[in-house]
Amino acid sequence: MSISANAFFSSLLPEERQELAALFHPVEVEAGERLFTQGSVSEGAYLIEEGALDLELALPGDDPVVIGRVASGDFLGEPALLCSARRNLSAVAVKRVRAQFIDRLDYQGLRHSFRTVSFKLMLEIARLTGRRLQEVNQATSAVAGNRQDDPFTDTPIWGASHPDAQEGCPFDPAPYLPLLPFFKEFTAQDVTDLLSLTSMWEVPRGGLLVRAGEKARCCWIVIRGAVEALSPDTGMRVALFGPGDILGQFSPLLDLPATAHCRVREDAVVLEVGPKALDHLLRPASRASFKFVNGACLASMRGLQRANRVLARATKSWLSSQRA
Amino acid sequence: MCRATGYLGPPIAISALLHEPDNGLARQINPRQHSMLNLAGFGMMAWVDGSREAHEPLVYRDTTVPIYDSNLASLSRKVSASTVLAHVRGIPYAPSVGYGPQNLHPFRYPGTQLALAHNGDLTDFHLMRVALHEYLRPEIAAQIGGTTDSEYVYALLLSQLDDPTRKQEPAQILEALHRTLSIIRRERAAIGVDTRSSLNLFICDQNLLIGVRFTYDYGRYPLDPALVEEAPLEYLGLWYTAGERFTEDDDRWRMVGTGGSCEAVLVASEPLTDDVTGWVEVPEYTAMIAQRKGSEVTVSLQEIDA
Repeated sequence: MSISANAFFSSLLPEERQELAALFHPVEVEAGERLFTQGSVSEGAYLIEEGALDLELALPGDDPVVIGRVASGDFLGEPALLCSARRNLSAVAVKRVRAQFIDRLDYQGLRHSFRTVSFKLMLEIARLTGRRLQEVNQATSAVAGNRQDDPFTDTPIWGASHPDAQEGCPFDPAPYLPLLPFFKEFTAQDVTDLLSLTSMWEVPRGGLLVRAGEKARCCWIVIRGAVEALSPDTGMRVALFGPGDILGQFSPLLDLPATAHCRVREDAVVLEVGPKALDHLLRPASRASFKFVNGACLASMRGLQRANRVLARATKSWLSSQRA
Repeated sequence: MCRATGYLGPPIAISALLHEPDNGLARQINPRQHSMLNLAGFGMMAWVDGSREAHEPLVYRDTTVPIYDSNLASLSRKVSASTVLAHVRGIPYAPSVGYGPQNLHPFRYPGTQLALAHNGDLTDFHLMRVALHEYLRPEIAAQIGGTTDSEYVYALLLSQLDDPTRKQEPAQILEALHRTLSIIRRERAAIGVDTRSSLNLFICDQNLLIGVRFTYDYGRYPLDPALVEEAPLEYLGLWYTAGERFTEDDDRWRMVGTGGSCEAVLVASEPLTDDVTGWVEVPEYTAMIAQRKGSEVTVSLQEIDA
């Protein structure tokens, strides 16, 4: 069993790796066979020990497009650990693949008992998703071409230093937070704990929360209204965040510059999760931390699914233009 | 919440869209993606090749719940159409809401080319109805027969076209759509409405199908917890699939054929099949445009900024 040697699990203590390893079991596929198929129900994740797989995405009316490849040491299909859904990609073996499979139910058993090993795995999944999202966004920019101008060069970021910033929520958010998807598993105490660490801002349409190319020190949860993420290279909308969605989490998580501008699309109230809050929430310090990271992971995966579709669409357009 | 389906492609038995797939439109009385029951009736327009006056659609409207409508079931099994726009109507449980065949979609006024169905709800429409008349051509306004926001959206769209009796190119329709959405936004502001209103539209003629995924003030739920619990927080969905044909294959319905040629497109409020492989959501604030020339259908997406 290769968990000990795998970089993905390097943050785990030896006894945590052992606890996790007991949940894996081996699978094999031959070259040309699918490890899983787009549209099939996802049941768990795979640790690739040997071999390589192409990741294919098919959009309506088109042949599948290869949007990536995974190989020995990669962790694949991790969204399935957090939620039941359908695979949004196919994984096709390029050569014979040996892998280890972990079932979602087994992983969720760890998470629901607030085992530290599950928290660390969630954080690694969030980081992996963030790195993949960056790669996909860069690939999309490479294919879709670059714009010449950046419309946000002189736009101030919203926050305490913004000249028009008004801290606070214009209404009592307490009745609404439990209704928002991000807070679905939060108890009243969890919400209180989270709000004690964070700030709320009312931001008008057009307000900029994140500037691409800069390292952000905080992330945001939309409480009301909507925020859109825009590619700095193409200007295309690459994501839309509504009530209960989290955005901007990758930059502080990975300590890397943001890859998209995030601008308020509809007058919004947003929860700013600043550096002090992140320092608390990114450690298994409380149940609220577990739930916060779980929510961030789920949101990240939805973002990656969407980005993959954008990449497939951009690739198809590029291929068509090459053939023309 | 209303549900609608549009089809453009080789002739297909209408039952293949309504009754036969596991989530066919007639089965969406209790839709999987929303909680409101759709009990206010069914409407359909279908262009049937080789029929008398083939450029005019067959029109069917009935307030009977479609899954119980044996006339519809018989008709849809026997008739194959190459363009279909069908709609089941959902309304709130309130006596004040207008119920009857005059309020069923799709709308298509005599002498005009475009048909329209709507999935969504314009908040406080009754407060802006009178003001909207300012933007309507008199001959279009005179044809309004129902009480719905949807029909007013249709009338507004027609009124923004240079000549609604002529065939329109997609660019002209999108320009008129943009003006329509801007008018509604202006009137919403005038009456102080700033909460979410979905305006997913299905627009078609015999060889064109446009699916519009649009919401005003997305994310701005009403500040009443009881209303927030009833209404979903997600951006109202709109899905499409494309390929060579929509067919029953190995006991399940799906779009087959990919790559070089696209001859069939389906756009729907929710996928017509349990297996959603091959279906993808139209991006938010975007129109999906499917245009048929000969047997080939081209599909494109265009962002709407209104």
